[in-house]
Amino acid sequence: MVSVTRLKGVKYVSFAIFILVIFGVVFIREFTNYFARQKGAIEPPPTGYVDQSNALYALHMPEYWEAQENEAFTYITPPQEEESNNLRGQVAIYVATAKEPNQNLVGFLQDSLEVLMATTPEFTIVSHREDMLERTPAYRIVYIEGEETSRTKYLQIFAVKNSNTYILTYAAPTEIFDNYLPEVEAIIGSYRIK
Amino acid sequence: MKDNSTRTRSIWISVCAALFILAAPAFVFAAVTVTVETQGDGHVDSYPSGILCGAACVESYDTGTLMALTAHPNEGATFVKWGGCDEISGTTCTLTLGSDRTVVATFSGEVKSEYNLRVYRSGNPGVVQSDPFAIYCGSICVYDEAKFEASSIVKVIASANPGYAFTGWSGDCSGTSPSCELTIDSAKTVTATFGVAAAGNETSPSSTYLLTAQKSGEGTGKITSSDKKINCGTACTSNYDRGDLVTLTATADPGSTFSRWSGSCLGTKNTCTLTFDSVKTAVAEFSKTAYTYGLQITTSTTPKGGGKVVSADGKVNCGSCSVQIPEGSTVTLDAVPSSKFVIFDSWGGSDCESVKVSTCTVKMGGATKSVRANFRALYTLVVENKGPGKGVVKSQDGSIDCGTACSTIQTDGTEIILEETHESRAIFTGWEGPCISGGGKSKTCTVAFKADKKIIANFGHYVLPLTVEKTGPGTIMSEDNKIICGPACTVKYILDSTVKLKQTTDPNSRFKGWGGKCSGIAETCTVTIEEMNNIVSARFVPLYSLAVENKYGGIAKTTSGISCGDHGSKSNTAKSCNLQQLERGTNAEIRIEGGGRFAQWKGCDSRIINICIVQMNSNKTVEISMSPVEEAALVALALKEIFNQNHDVVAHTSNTNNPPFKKTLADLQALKMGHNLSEIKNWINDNYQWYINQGGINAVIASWEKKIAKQVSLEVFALELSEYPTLAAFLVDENQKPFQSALADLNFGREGGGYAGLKKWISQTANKRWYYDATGIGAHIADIEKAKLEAEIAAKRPFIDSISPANNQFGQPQIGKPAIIKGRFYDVQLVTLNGNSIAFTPDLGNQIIILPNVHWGVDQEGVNIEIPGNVKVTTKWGEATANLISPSQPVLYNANGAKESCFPGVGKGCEGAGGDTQKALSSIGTQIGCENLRSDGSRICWISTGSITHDNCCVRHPSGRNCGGPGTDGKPAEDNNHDGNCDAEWMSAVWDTFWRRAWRTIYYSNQEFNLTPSGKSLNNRYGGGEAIPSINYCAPAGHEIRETWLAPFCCSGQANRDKKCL
Repeated sequence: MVSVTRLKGVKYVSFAIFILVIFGVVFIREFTNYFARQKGAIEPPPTGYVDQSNALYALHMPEYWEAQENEAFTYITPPQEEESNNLRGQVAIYVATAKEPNQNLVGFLQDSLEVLMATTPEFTIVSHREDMLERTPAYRIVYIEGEETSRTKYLQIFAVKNSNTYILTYAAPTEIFDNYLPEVEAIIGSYRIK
Repeated sequence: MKDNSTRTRSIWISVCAALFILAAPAFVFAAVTVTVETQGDGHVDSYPSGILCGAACVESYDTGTLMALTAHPNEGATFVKWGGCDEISGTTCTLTLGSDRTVVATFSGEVKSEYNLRVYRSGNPGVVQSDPFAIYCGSICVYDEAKFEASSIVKVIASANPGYAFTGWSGDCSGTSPSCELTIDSAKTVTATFGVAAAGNETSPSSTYLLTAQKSGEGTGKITSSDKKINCGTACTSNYDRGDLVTLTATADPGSTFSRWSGSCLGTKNTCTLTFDSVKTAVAEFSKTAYTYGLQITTSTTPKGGGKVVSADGKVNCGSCSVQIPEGSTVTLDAVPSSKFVIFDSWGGSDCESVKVSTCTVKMGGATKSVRANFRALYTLVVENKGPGKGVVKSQDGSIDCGTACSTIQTDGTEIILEETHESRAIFTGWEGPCISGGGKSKTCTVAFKADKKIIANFGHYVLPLTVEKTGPGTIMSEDNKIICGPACTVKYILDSTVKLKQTTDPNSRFKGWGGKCSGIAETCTVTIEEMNNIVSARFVPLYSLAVENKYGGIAKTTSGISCGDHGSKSNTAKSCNLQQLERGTNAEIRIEGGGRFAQWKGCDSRIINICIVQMNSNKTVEISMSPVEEAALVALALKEIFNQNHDVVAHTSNTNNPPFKKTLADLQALKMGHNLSEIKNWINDNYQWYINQGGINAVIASWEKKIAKQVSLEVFALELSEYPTLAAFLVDENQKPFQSALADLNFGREGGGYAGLKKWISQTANKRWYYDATGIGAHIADIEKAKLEAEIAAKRPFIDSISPANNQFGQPQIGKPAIIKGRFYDVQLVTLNGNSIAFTPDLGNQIIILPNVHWGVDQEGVNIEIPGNVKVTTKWGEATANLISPSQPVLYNANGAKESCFPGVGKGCEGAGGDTQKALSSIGTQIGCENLRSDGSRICWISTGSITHDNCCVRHPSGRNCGGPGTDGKPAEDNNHDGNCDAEWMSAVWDTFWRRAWRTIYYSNQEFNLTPSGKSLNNRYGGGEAIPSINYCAPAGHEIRETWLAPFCCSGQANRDKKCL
């Protein structure tokens, strides 16, 4: 005859093991996710977006956008109508080794702006603010350049991490700049430095 | 006894024989019909014979007969084609007869309704004539000819002259029978040949021949000849000479009718012409006529022709005619179509209306009858199957089964329905031709026979579309060129066929690959047309050019492979780099290798810091240049490092408006050198001579040296300059020795050269002394001194501008005021009048000398006023002389200070001395002085020689008698207080007045009367000169003057003995 107490004990043990298994599964998943995040892994893309990554970074981009990648740049461009030659807006991601080993964001920003302002005659800053690129401090600047008939609007995110400088640039003719801004913000928001 | 086997064999043989006998007739006697149809102008004959179509077009032959049909086009026509033959060779059609056959021979041209018959006569004398009579070819005739109705039968008859014999026919007749019948189904030619009669049969030639006229038949009538020799009735014979020509005429008596000739005459015409070459007998047959009724014949016509009605007795033979037929007789009429494309349709009119066949018998009696034969056209329908697909057309009545039987002939108005049937992989694409219903793409076509018609049934293949979906600049073409996509991208092809497509890129484009039923990027693709999914896509992308113009220097590199520019060359490092073709939609980045931090970019679509990004959505050109500020700074630095000889040179080259800077910058911007310091310096060094010469460096250096030489000279001789400022011009004068010596010493590099060395050198006492003496500085100072003195002398040397009386209260010179000498008078030492020293008062301005004791016009200094005094002013700086009377402005005020308004007026007679004119007039009792001023400003005065001389005296001696100037008592000088002058002149004036020797003159008060004494005098009448207006007043001709010595007062200057002016 089995005692009630013993039965209760078996139940408790079973429940405890069940709880432990649940916790274990959750822990392993979270642990894995943590490592993944540490390595710059990216969350699964939301509907309508796909992964785009290389050795330095990963991001989500709209499903029907095109990505071109070369040694220094990755271009992410909305689709172009087949017979249209209109200039498209596009996101250009530029990663370069910092000029100096200890270059910080302020120095990088100042240096970049100095060049920008010295070499761009028609140049108007629309807005600028501190920002974050993933968890990296960054600086966001929106400006317009070019003559009245062909102005280009820029959204640039500057960041420095691990002796690399990062510039995410969304440039588009002023009149279509806002058309793709939600997708561009989603790309910037999904950007993970590996 | 026969054995069983033999018996059995015999039985079999018998059975077989019996079967053969029973079956043989079926093989031996089976016949088939050959029908020949001709279309156009020609006929067909056959071998074996039987067919001669036109005439005999249907014939039966034994089954299995091998026959040949030959087509013969008539004259002027050609054979076109056979239809329905087994084999064809030219005009010959071969048939192997197994069943009934119909053959069609087609000729060009229409079937003729009549043909020509030509008859030749050959050989010895004889006559050939035709029946019906139309041809007569006698002994001297070569040939005669006439046209006969088609299908008619014509008899030709040959008659030899006596002594000769007809020897035979040739041509379309043959044999030796004297007559020959011809069916006129084509043009015919016949030759009759005459020879010599055989022995015993010859006829002796005679010169006269007997003509016998005979009558026959039941009727009566007479025969007459054209020469009246025959009138038969009674004269029925006559002789004629050989060769005579006689025409006989048969005339029926009433109740009779002429029927025909026989004998030597033939035919039914009632005349007959004979040529006498033999004995002749002409028989005229007369018929007895009964009571007759008219039979009216009419026929209908069709588009293919009509026909005629003929009677068996030949009386009726027409399409439309009226024939008299004896009462009670019957006429059998046949309706005969005019061609094979017309058939009899129906009868109309008397007796025949209900007759359905083409023969109708009419019985005459009681009345005129009308008969109408109606004909109907036959039309041909030809059906043709056309197109690549397979199908057949059949008519519902079975007349057309095309495939094989593609034509039918039907009567006018018939309608048949054609129906197409196409094979499973074919489609019917439509009818062509006059369908009255159906037609188009419907399955049937109803044809109405109202004319010859042709219906085409078009059959096509079962096809499916092949669609090419092309994007971008390129062309897809099929091997058969049906697809040319661009414009023709969808083309239908036969099911299961294959199509080879080929891609061709446009200029500046690239093929990116096939899609759909094709794949890959090969030049060609082969597609099989299936029932589904015949779509091929092809994608081309445009190529756009990227050009980089690098004006910055260094190397501009693009990710697409352009490397533009190079380091280290002396010039032309700035480059326009070759175009590169890049696909649309790609990006290219351009950056300056190792720098270009402040490069100026043109043509970038976006920039990230100093990287230019170009989107290849069109041809792009990117220009990289240095900023103007950067370029200018680079040029300035290069110039400064090369041209640093002195401050002036540096200043010259650094001035952006000067040639060195402008040229260097322009050359830099013209890409003659690279945009870096060393290349610019190299460029300047390479062009150093230009900078030295055209660039003005030498000039600047030379100018600087001159400047130094001048500056040092001025500084060393500063003390001298303080005393002689004009010495500076001499010292800096580049043509003078001081400058030239200083420049030489500077160039020599004295005391270390430059400004300091030169100054030190010249400042040395000995050198300074040398410069003072040897370069002319001392001499120049002496010249300055001399010039200074001469200049003072020149500046202070005296001169006299004028000597006038002092001004009165009106600021005008007045007679009697002290004389004023105007001019330049420094350091006055002495003033003399006519050599006598006189008192003078110089003013402070060295411009006026006052002679207080010389009253102008008054000579208190002993000057003889008759001779103008000579004034001499002696100063430290020289002497100046002038006549006393040399006023600077006219003297208008008389001695008592009044402005003169008439002349003479200085004296008492006018207003010079005042007084009452009217009183003078009344006291003297004569005309003297002036009347009152009139409204027009004029005044009438009376003047005389005495008054002129007195007034002129008063100008010089204002205090003379009655001159009005200050008298001895200070009052106006009159008779008792004058200074003794002008006494005689006054008396002359009184005398002239008394003796009425005055003349009338009009003065105008607005005239100013210049009282200034003049050296002139009218006719020298008044020694020492007169006041200027006085010269104008003279005595008119006839005026009496006091003494002859006064004659110069005459205007003419002369007077006669009576002392009257001339």
